[in-house]
Amino acid sequence: MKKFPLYKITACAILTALALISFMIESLFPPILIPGARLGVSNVFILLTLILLGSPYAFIALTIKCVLGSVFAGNMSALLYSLPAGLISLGIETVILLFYKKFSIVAVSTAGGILNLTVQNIAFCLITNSIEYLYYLPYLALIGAISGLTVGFMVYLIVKFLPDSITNKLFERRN
Amino acid sequence: MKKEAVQFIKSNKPFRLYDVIVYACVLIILLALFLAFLLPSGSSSNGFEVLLNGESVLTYKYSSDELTILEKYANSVKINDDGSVTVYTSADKSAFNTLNIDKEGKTVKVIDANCSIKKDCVHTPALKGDNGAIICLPHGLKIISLSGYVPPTVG
Repeated sequence: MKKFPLYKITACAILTALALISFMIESLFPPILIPGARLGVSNVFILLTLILLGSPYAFIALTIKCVLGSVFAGNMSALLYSLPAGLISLGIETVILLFYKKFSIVAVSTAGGILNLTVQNIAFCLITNSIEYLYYLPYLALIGAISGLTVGFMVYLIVKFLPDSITNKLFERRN
Repeated sequence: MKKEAVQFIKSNKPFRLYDVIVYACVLIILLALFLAFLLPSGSSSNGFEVLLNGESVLTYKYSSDELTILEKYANSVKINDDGSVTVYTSADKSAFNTLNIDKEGKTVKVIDANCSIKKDCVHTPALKGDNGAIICLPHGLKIISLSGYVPPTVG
């Protein structure tokens, strides 16, 4: 059996494209009160990739979304803080999801949400050498927690109502 | 993830008992951050300084309505008819950030820029008191408050 079967690569590509499209659409709207504070609808598709396809695919999807998102938004410098924050929060989500019988997907997403915006803010302060920007950290953490909660619910509902025929196909052992 | 895990999520409620641990941690983190960063109230601002790639471009003092532009950047700053100030961040003047100065309210805000689609600097709240900063990373522009600000010494 191939390590990266074609049907999983295709599913990953579709979810990555959806994440990128939602990221670009969300970029057109002003942030929630503070720069960088967004609902993060694209994270719905990254979290879905993690649940349905596994962590290697989720990390690839996240990296592609961050790189292409920065290119299309015309802000390559954003990659310096968005990619490390995304990778760290996805790493934590992956670890917590190992205990899926104890923690719900909503709690996993909430932890990832707060961590994502917190790390983004700290990385931004370090890159720009601007300690003053830490003033926004509590607000960003709060918005991160709320957006993580919302994303978690959306992912839960999608997984719950996803037809068994699709999930069965994704977990079939074939090349 | 395993198929079993997906089936588990599908067949269960969106809350588990152990979630309380995660939510308690989130609440503690939020409380600690708000106490640490927001309790020390900021003093009122005397003015602001605009930095470009770490170098001072201009300073403004609210009390004396005094705008000081550094000689090196004299051609990079334009005072518009409506009182707003445009700072050109590239030599060919293709990149800019426009600032609106509210003398009575003692605030400064970026009202226009051509940095990226997101325009985070434009959406940053007005700089008031000595809290926060306005940063435009693509243009290397930074606006900081002058209150409590100690100019760097040379030598």
